[in-house]
Amino acid sequence: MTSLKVDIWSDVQCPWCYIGKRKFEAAVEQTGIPVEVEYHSFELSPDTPVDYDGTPEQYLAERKGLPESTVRQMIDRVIGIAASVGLDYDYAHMHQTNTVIAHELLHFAKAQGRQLEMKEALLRAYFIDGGHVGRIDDLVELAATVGLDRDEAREALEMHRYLPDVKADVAQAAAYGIHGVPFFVFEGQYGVSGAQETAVFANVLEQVRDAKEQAA
Amino acid sequence: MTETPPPLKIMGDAAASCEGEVCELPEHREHAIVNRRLDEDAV
Repeated sequence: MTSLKVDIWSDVQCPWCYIGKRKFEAAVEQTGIPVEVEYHSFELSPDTPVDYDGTPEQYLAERKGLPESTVRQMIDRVIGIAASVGLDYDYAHMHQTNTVIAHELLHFAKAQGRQLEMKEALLRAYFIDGGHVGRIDDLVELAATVGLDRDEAREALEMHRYLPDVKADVAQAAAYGIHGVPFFVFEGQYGVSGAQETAVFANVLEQVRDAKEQAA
Repeated sequence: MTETPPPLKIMGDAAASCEGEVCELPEHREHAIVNRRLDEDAV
């Protein structure tokens, strides 16, 4: 069986993207359908300063004017659902930041054949380990944890060599009409929005596989 | 310039996603989007 191509638009600071990633991975394991995954950039909050000094909770309350009780309820729900898929989100130690350079790093990692490992490392760093995913120094160290060369990573990030690729992904999302993430595109034809349940992802994988086999 | 891709066939159920800074579950989605639009209007 040939692999299904799955293009996933996602942001590093998107709580549903990490949860959706786990549910999608569970569906792949459950169905046994081979997939070729490629992550694409989507900036949820491109106006966030790299050095914003606060948590996502503070950012939403202070910068966006949402009531603290509303923010707390939102975050509590997310934490509970994350825990249900084995992710221990630590909102008290998250560093809200700008993610454009993290996206550049994902493109650098893709060029080195390490994009999937880099994506998981970035999500884990931000949501679980209290890492900073906006500063080049921190990103270079994170790149090294997945086997990427520190000097090459730093050069790529400081020169913004992959910024055009990030912008191309954002433009492609707009062309598809994607307004939110995670967003999954199967075989360039089928779109799935959001952190679907594992059973839904499994059903989609089977339908797309069947359609591809019938078309062959 | 990005070429316009063929329209996607949408599959799956209503599910949680993030739009802008606001990330919500489907049952709270309308409230979240209203909040976001109010915020945009305020800017």
